[in-house]
This record gives sequence, C-alpha cells and structure tokens, in this order.
Amino acid sequence: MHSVVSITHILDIMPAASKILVNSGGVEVLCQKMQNFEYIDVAESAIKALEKVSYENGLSILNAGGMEIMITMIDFFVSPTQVNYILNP
Amino acid sequence: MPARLNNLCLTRKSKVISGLIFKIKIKRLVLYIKSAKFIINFRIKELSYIPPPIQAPIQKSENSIEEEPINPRFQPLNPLQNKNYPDSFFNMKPNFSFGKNARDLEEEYRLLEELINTENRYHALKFKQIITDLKSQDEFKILEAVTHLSTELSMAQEENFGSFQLDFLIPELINCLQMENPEIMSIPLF
Repeated sequence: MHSVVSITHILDIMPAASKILVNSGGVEVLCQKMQNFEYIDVAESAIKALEKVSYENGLSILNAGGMEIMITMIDFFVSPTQVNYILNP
Repeated sequence: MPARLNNLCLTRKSKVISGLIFKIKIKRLVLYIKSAKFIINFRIKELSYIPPPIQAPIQKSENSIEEEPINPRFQPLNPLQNKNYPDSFFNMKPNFSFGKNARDLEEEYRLLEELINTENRYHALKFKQIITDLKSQDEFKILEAVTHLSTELSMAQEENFGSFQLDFLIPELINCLQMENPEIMSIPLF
C-alpha cells in the first residue's frame, strides 16, 4: 500500500519519472494490483498511479492491458474512482 | 608773471599732487583689502580641512572567510555548488550590500550556503538509508522504510528530488509491490 502511495507521490511531484516506471516494468505490476480485490485500497491507489502515468505514457498502459482491466472492474470501485475512469481514460 | 597768477599755478599744482597722493592711498587701501581677503579665505580653508582618519591594519578575526583549495577528488556533484558553473550559488552574490558591512554580508551568505549544503546532505543520507533498507531482505525494515518514504514524499517538493536517485528507488518500490507476502500486509501500523 505504502509503496503504491509513494509511487503516486513521486509521479505527482515529478511526472517525468513515469518513464523510469514504464522502463522498469511497473505498469504491468500496477495492472496486476488493480485486479486484486483482496486489498481494495491498494487497487484504488494503483489506479491513481496509472492515471498519473497515462498523462505521459498512455500507450504503455494500453499495451499492458490496463484499459481492459479497468473496464471490466469499473463496477467494483467507488463512484469517485469510476468518475476518474471516465474522465481520464 | 604776476603774483596772483603765480599763486593760482601753485594751487593747481598742489591740487594735482594731492589728487595723485589720494589715488595712491586708495590703491594701497584696495591692495590691503585684497590681501586681507586672501588671508581670511586661506585661513578658512585651512580650518575646514579635516585630515583623513588613520586606518588601523586589518587583523584576521576567527570568523574571517578563508578560501580553502578544493581537492579535485571532492568536487560537489550538484553543479549549483560548483564554483566554475555559471549559475552556481557563488556567482549569485549581488555586488551591492544594502547598507550592511561587506564582511557581515559575506558571513550571511556563507551561513546560507552551509545551510543549503547540510540540508541536501541530510536529504541524501535519509534517502540513501531508505534505499538500503528497501534492498535488504528484512521485511520489517522494508515496511519501515516504505512507511517513512510515503510520509516524507507527502510533504516533499521537486527540489528534494535532486538529492536522491529515482533510477534506483522506483525499481525497488516495484519489487516491494511484487512481494506476495501476507505477513507484511497484516503487520499493524503504529
């Protein structure tokens, strides 16, 4: 949980760091965490992190299958997260 | 020549002579006045002249700044701290002193530079410790480091990122995410 939050903070402060995250295979791991409903807060934080990545490297999320996972899982999240899905696809 | 006419001539001569004497006297007076004026002006100038104060030889105090030769092996990594760099802190000093003594101003700048350096060093050491904890195999250490990092990052600014390397930190955080150990998630946070 804390590691996802710290990744989100890093991306929030320094958006250029998303390139390092993509190169080190972080997008796939975040997509995995998004599917895991055992820890819903981790999944929501992963979505926030992916939102930050999508501003700079949206293609990498598409390649990792993040869009499909988000569409299939949209009903399980709270309404602000769903709004974030729609507004920042 | 009649006596009357002779008397008249004498009176005329005496008048001319007395006139000449008068003129000479007036010229002398003017000269006296001029010389008196000159002397008074000279005296005034002499009185108004203030000799420059005698300067004592400058002695080096304990707080005086001495430039130490920098060992080329220990050059600062941050280019702003490098004296040769055009945009460094050393070249940002203004040439005016705002009414302060130049020595005091230099001392203030020295303290400011020291503060910046110590702050950077403090951040660098802190994040180095976090990265070493993340690399270690101890789960408690990892959890502690990640908790500390998230709290630090919530208050951090972009300037603080200059002191630590994201190339090492982000892969370590991803490794931490990939850990599928339920124990690490179930530890109560204090």
